This record gives sequence, C-alpha cells and structure tokens, in this order.
Amino acid sequence: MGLTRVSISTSQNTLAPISERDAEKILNQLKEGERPEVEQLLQLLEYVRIHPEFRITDNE
Amino acid sequence: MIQDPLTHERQPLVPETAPASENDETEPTLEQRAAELRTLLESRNVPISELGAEMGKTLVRRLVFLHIQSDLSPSRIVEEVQSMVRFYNKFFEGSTREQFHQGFFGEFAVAYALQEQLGYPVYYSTTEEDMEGKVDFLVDLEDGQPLVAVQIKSVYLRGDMDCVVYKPGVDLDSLPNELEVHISDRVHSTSEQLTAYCEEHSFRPMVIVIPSPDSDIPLYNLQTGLPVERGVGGKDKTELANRIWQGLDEKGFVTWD
Repeated sequence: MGLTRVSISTSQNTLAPISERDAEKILNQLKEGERPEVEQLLQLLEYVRIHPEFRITDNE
Repeated sequence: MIQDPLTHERQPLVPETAPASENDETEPTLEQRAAELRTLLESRNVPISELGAEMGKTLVRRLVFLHIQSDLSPSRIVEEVQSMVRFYNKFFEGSTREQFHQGFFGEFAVAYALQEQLGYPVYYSTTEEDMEGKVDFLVDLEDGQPLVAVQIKSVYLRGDMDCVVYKPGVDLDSLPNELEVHISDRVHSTSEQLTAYCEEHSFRPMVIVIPSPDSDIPLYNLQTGLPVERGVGGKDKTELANRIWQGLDEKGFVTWD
C-alpha cells in the first residue's frame, strides 16, 4: 500500500490550540501527580507561552 | 497648598506620580513563565529532553506555517518567532536547548531553501522514518529517481565552509578538520542509521551540514528562522540555497542528461 506523503506546503499546524479550561485541566493533572500525554504537555507549553495572564502556580 | 488657577486640575504631560496599576500583580515575563513551568514539570519527573524532540518538530511546522502558508506581515512573524525563541530558550535551558534550537531552526531553513528557493517539493518524514532512519524530511528532485532522505546537522563553525551537502558512506569521512572536531561523533552515528535505513527502504541518503546562527558565517538566523540575507555588499539573498544547489550538482544528486 502506498504512503501518502505530507507536503510542507499543505500540512496543517499539528498542535491544536486548547482552551483555558483544558490548560487548567492539564496543569491540575500534573499537580496531582498524574502524567498527561506528551501532546497535552506541548499544548500546555504553547498555551502558557501565548497567554501571559495564565497562572501556573496558585497565589498564596 | 495654593493651586495655580491656570493649571489647576489640568493633566500634566508627564504625570508626577506613576498611575497605580489596576492590579498590583505584574504579569510574569515569557522567561519567568517558561522557568516556572519547567520547574513544575521537572518536579513531576517529566523528561524535558523528550519534550524537546517533540516540540522541535512541532515548531518546524509552526515556522512552515508562518513563512510559507500564512499571510501575516513580516513584523508579526518576527514577533511570533521571537516569542517562541525567548520562551523555549528558557524552557529548554541547558544541553537540551542547543539540540532543540539548532534542530528546528536548521531543519526549517534547509526545507525552506529546498522548496521555496530551489523549487523541489519537500515532505515531512513519518514517525518511523524519523525514529528509525533519523530522516528529518524527504525531498523529490523530480528526476524519476527515489526520494532523497535528508538529515540536517546544524553546527557551530569558525570560518567558512563551502560544502554543505554530503553523501553518507561516501564523503562524510572527508569533512573539513575544523568541522570534524565539532560534529564527528554526532554526525557519524546518525548518518550510519540514515544510510542503513535508506538501503532498506530505497531512498537516496543525504546529509546537509550547515553553520548555526552563532557561527562566524551563519546560513540562517534566529530572528526569523529563515536563511540569512546578505544582500548589501555581500553575498546574495539565497546563499544557503546556492550552496545546496552547488552540492547537489557536485555530488551527483542532479544530472544534466
């Protein structure tokens, strides 16, 4: 079976953006000692980069 | 205090005291957020190097989107690339940073030169090709021959280097001495993997070695992720593409039959 090659001209940005709620969910998973999927961690990284208002640590 | 009737209640050009912010908290910088997140991930034993490899691939696609697919203004693209550089430089601080940084910018610059400047279709490698064959991407030289499996090595280099295209197993052993010092182990181990994988899957192997942005004469830059432009009084704007083309010709990847 032939492989369909993905051209750099037509491919989509593979990392889907996430909502604030999703970002909080991934963050909470981490804080509770769970291990999110690599893709979720990458999404969280991008979310934190793009959203300066998002807080990673809770305020005392 | 007696108020001057002429200026009373007028707003001065420069406020005498800084206005109180709406919120006493100042927003953390990009670097602070990156460091904070890294600390959290490390405390949960998440391997940062594993994320570096994956994020590098993601950001190559992001650069492709910004420079090839989007219609954003050049200044907006630079702003976005710089945000990525600042954030991920901090997040991957340490040995992972060099690997990450040089990996994704170098890969993008070569893919851009091959497709956008030389006109050859470029394709992403599959996960298997990447993991087992160390193939960064594939290029179709449109000559009816098998695809070329390309591996990019971006390295710090003093001085200049004319040759950027190598055939593993043929001429990678004759790297310039200075280059050999910097990359010998890294290049040779992964190029052997590339050669073996290509033999098994009928690809033509090619290694492209390019000077990184911190080299004396870099061929791509960290402002945009694009190949360097030296249009003023120096070399032309397609220096990287020119050298790749010269290498393809000299190494027999393209023929005139």
